[in-house]
Amino acid sequence: MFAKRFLLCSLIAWTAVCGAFARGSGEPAASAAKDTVTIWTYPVVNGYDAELERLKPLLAAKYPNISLDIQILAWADGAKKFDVALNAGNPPDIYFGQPNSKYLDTGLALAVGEYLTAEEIGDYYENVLELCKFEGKVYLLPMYEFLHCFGGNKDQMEKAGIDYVKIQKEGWTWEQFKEYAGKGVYAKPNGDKNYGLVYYTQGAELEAMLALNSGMPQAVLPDGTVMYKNPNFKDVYSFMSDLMKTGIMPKETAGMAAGLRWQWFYEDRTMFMGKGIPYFDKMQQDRNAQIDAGTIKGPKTNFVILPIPHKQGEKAYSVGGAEGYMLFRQKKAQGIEHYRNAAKIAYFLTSGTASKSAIELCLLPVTKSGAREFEGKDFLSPWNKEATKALASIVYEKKVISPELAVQEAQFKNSGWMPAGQGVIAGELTPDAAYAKVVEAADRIFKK
Amino acid sequence: MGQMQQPFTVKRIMRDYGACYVFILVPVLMFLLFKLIPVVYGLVTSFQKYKVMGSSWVGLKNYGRALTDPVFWKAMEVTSLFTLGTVPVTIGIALLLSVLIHPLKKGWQTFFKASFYLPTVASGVIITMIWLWIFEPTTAGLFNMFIGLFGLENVNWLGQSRTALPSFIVMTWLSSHGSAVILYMASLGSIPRSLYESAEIDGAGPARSFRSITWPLLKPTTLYLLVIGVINSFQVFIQIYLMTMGGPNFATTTISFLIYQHAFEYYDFGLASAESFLLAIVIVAISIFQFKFLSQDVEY
Repeated sequence: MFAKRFLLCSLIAWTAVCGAFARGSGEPAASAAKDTVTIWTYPVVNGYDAELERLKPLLAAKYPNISLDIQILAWADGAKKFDVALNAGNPPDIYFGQPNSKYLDTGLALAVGEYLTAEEIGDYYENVLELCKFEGKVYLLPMYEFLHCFGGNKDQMEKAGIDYVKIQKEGWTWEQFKEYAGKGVYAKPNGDKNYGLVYYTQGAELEAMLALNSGMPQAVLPDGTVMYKNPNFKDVYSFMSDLMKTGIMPKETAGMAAGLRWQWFYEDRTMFMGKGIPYFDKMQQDRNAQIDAGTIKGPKTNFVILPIPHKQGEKAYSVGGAEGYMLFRQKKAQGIEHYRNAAKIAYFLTSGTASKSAIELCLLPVTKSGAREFEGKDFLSPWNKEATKALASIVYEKKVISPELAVQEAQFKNSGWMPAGQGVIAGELTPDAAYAKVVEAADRIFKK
Repeated sequence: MGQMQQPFTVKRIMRDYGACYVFILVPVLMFLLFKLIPVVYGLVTSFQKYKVMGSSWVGLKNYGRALTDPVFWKAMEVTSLFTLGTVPVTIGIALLLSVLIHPLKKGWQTFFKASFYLPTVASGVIITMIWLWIFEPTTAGLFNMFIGLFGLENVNWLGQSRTALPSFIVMTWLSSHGSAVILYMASLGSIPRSLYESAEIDGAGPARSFRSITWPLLKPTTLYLLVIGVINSFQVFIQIYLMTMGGPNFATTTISFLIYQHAFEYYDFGLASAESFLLAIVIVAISIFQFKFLSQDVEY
């Protein structure tokens, strides 16, 4: 009897020991059982649907038990579709986007880093991974680190005697920007007006960019301090108002759509434009090639990536952040093995050969495997290569705020500083009145 | 001796009316699933702080937040102005068009009715895209091309507070009277011709005939269009979402757009539900007022 009990206990103990070693001995293996992973993504880069078709057989070879259900959403309404699905408790397993505290607040966002090995996590560059963390956990696997700056018309700048190389290296103040942009305000021989700056204002990014470069890098800090209540924010509005009054920005700026901004840049009607991203360089090269081939007509222009002008005495920053794939669970949990499978897929789609999308967007790879795979390959014009690297190195790392503050921050933007900025651009509010509205909105929203 | 009446049993009801119940089952189910249950769920949500993984009861807090939010009142103001600016005018335009179309031959009547009704069946998104071109702030926009003929500078129609809401009102005048024309045409067709002939014999001109015969007999239709017009205008959303996103500076922030923002940008479904029910209360109150005070001399 005693022998039987001893044997049974030994067997149990031995099984437990073997299980513990097995768990610690290698990677959390993707389950061999059949599994389907749903992915909602966007046309991240021109031809991304073809790129996904290229990656599918590579994924199937690596993970033969995992099938993919991929949906490519439209930029216009994809986010809303995801919002509805998320709040209904039925989001996809993997979703492309930026890290957002409100996703965490639903309780359905998973810390994707916990489902990968140390080697896989270590493949990402640490500075980019920091942008994807909340409370120390990785919630997004970045595909690229986006970069928003200003853009310039190289030919107009050279004709006006503006040294864009110096600006790319040293930056420029608001006063310098006004001086240079003023040289872009003139009537063309055909009667069209040329402008100093054409900016796509829907989304209020101009105010945010200028505030970032005038000592107010984000609207709200994690401790609840509202940076935009700083009197410096009035100077942001004063600067914008000056740009409108001096004719540097056209009167159509209020409500300027992205397409119109591009049209005027294509038509060689502006010296600077915003926002500017490195990919615009490739877009302009492609357009110039089409003009050379005779398939389209129009003036040839060359795109120069430029830093955001900074207020005198303040530090210069670029706007940047990570975009990539996030992991979600559904209200009805599907089990750890399923989430591990989804995490593996998300890792594959953002590293190694999949870094092609980042390269095509003229951005730096965010993984070491991607950097090895595409070493020396990029589509940037020679005058933008070093500048892009330099501007990427001064991206401001936004301090993560709680989900509750994130919601209040969004309300503050939509009912505070964005409409006030629209009033300044439209000439309906003075900078003082606009700033007063911002302070009133901040006091109302953040006192809750 | 009369026949004995059969007892009123379930079996008898199903035998006599069973087929009727089967036929109405589908629309009743659709109503329950897609109307009644969501409305009740929305009402419950309006008393909660909604979270996917478990909501918490907050009582009337969401209603209090809505009523003390200055943006909510601004949205109500914008919506009310939009309603006052569009409903009476679109009804007037529809009535005028109907009176002009009615005397024409059948073929021409059909042509004009179809033409004016076409925007109603076209996608709201497509129509909005066309109006975005019409309102484009550069000289390429249709309105700016037109005023340019008179030597005027181009106007940023949707980018200025003073022109944004009026632009939407004009857009509604020109695109939202199709169904009213159809209804008025049907009502005009039902007015007996003999009334006009008698009036003519008595020496009444067209204006007197319209005032004494046409207008009173169209009052039921007018009342219906007024009630429906107010309900629809209080729920205007697509044009705002696609054209201005409520800007500039709240000039076009309607109550429906604000509800959308609270729900899908801030994930504050409780507050959005509360605002929806406040909107419903306002609409019901206005409808009751309209029926009570404007239907006094309406005959059916």
